[in-house]
Amino acid sequence: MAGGGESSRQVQMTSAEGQEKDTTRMNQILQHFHTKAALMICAARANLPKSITRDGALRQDRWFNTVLDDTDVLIDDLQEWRRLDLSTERPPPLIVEVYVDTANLNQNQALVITDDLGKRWDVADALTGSAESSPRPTNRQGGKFCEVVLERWTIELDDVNSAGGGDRGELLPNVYKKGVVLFRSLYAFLRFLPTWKLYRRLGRSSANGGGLRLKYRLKSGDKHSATLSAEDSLSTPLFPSETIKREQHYSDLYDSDYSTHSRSSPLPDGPSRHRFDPLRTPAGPLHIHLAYRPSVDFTVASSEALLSSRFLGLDQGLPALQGGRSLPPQAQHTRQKNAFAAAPPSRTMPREPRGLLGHYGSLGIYKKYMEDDEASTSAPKGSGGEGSEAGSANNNAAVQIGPGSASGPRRPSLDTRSPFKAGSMASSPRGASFTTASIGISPTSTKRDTARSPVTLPPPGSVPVEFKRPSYHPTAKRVSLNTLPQQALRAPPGSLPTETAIASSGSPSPMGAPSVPRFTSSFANRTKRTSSTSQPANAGGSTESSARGSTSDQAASATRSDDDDIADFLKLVESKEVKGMKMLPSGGRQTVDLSKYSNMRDPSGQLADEMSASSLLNHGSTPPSRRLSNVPALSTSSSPRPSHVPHVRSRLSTQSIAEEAAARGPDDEDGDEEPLLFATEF
Amino acid sequence: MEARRPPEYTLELSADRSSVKDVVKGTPCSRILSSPVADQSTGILHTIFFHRFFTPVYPQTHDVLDLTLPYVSEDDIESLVETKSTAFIRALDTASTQQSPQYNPKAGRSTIVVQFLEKKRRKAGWFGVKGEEETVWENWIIEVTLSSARSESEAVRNRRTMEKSLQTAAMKIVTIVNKERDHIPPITTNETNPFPYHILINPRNDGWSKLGIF
Repeated sequence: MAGGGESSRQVQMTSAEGQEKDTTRMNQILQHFHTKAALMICAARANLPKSITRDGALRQDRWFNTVLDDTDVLIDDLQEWRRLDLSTERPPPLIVEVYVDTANLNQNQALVITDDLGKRWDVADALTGSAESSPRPTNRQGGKFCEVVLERWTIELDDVNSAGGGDRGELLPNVYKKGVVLFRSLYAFLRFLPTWKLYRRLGRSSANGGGLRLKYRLKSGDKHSATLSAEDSLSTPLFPSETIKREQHYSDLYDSDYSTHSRSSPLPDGPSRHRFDPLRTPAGPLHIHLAYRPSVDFTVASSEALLSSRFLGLDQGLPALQGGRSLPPQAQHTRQKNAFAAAPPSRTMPREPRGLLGHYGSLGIYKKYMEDDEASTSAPKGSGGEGSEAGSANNNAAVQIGPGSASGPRRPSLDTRSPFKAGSMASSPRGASFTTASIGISPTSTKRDTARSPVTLPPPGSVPVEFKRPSYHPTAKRVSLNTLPQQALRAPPGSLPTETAIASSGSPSPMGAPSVPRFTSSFANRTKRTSSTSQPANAGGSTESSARGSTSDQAASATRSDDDDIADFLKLVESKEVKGMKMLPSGGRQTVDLSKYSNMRDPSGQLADEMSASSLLNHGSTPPSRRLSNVPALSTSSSPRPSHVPHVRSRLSTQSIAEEAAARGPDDEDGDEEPLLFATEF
Repeated sequence: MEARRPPEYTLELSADRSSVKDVVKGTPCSRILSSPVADQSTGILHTIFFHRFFTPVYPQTHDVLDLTLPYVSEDDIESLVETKSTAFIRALDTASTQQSPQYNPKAGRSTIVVQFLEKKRRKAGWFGVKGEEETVWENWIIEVTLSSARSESEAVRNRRTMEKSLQTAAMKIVTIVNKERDHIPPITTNETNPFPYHILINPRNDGWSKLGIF
């Protein structure tokens, strides 16, 4: 870039040439601002395939002095901004959405989110609005289909007279210089967000059968469409405490001194937001806004567990709730009564996760019945009494757990509840299959309100077979079941062992931290793997020594390479490779052999069988990498399993995948390397 | 312009003394930098440089306390940051072992200061000699507070505090660099890094602020 003096001369030049050059440069800055932002965001959320020039060199985007590996897969979607020309029309906002969906889950899997208390909630149920009568969308495997937007980035050029302000007098080199800073900070910021951690976690577990992948899409938006995301999945709470957590996360992320500039006032029921200070240009300010979910602790769980928890509730004598709408709120969320108060099913306001009775993650119902007599008219007294009798016994122990967040090495609650440490089940943190029964049960101890009797686990006897009354100890088993699922359900990467206690859901909020270590440990190894591995993208790029920090490109040379790029691009467009690429959530490119699943007619029966088998196992032998939510899988590694068992296993369990792969071949697996955006085979 | 003090941005980190000591005591140099304190300092320093190194950079990242931070893979910066981090750890250790109250009323707190300078052409002096003078246009003050854990539970809590403080500091950098863009001097070259930099360790409180006013 020329020095300041030279540029000002150019700006003052009245010759057509000078102005034309300025216009060209202004357009270039706008074009590359949009495309680079999109590239940077997508590169930090997905493995983008590299692009090679015809000389075999790695194509890179060097704009704003931040070198990124370029890719071809965004070209189509970015057309509108690549050819941006102010003289024709002003560009629309460019919106990048990062989301997960259940397109690749089979019918026996469900997408669940773990809140910071360790409870799991079925995402599809939470998202399915009040329209209970409408058929739920399904994916191609017949499972529930849903999509959750995790981040929505809006890149837009605002009006020059807008509040953010353009700066007609701003010299383009200064704009470029400030753009450098902005893009560096965007790069860093992308890796502070909770979705980044999710991305790495999902990327690490490449053997998860492609069940869950971060995906992205680009689209054009109306001027303020991004702010009107009223009913979409980004702002839909997936669990009752989510709205509270959003505010907390928001305030944690910023130092108070500078918070006013960097954020809008948090909406109590909206997503978290971040706003980059605009880059002011003569054409107007360039904004990058973000709305995001602070809780992105998504995992794939087996529907078996969901069903089993339903049986729990029924046996307990609790009435089947009419959808989630009517679920009374948990006591700890009473401040959200307006949103989640016990409501008739017709209520459409947000949004208690539906079907909480049988719900995967909803201990809420049990807690509710146990403690909050006045709020729930549907709470059967029987369950209430039962709960309180055991609850009082649990109370003290629970109290220790809850407030005892400061206590040192996080042990499973088992240790602190010595009176209830009974039986092999209780002593095993890895707990075996019976934890599936209680998978829906959240940790009792998380309640801060110690006056209430926490839990809630319905007698395990209600779950198939094994746990019938004779073997059931009301307090002992109950406690152990409470605690084990906590560990079992703790979604991985977020939950770290005692030493590192960042809140599990990826949010830096310490609120979740106290409860994290309790649930730990089986994922310690996984976590460490996650954090110790270097960036694959960067590692790949490190071989390109010529690109890194090397001689800079002048803007002029960027122009030249643009021409080259355009030529290359045209070639690419003609190639069938690019033509075949689509930005589709799922290309339907692989079929799933469903015959294996034909055996799964009687889920509860199978579950019972597996539970009985696994209860005989030595629980302690479970390898730490097991994902405990999928309990039947735990037993598979150490006992002979009938052939139909594998389907119960979570894809996220690496060991089971290895076995499955050997048994079944890869036809169930998606291409692990590529985001499911492409219909083409890789 | 010269008379005005350059902006100062303060970042606060907390570090657990016990972990620092364990690593520093009798360990080879390479091990020192694996201590959380060193990691944090290095991480924050690199994050600052990442936003102030204006030549084209291929971003790299590293993980510090479960936070992914960018770093600048330039030899000059890398070696300088390493050197200064090591010296900083030693200074921390020295300060922490000297418990006498007279030594340092803020015992347990140490400071790294990063300064960015610009080269300005000095107007022709008496002898017509043109030269360049360097003026500081930005100061980053990193205050590291040591905490010590007397029990394992306290160590856990300290660890959490460390992580939290690191995240807050990193986020603050991002916020500051975006909010304050107007004071960055014009860049006249794209070949080399236009802004020289200094890293100072525990500069005297009364003295370093004057460094910005040469």
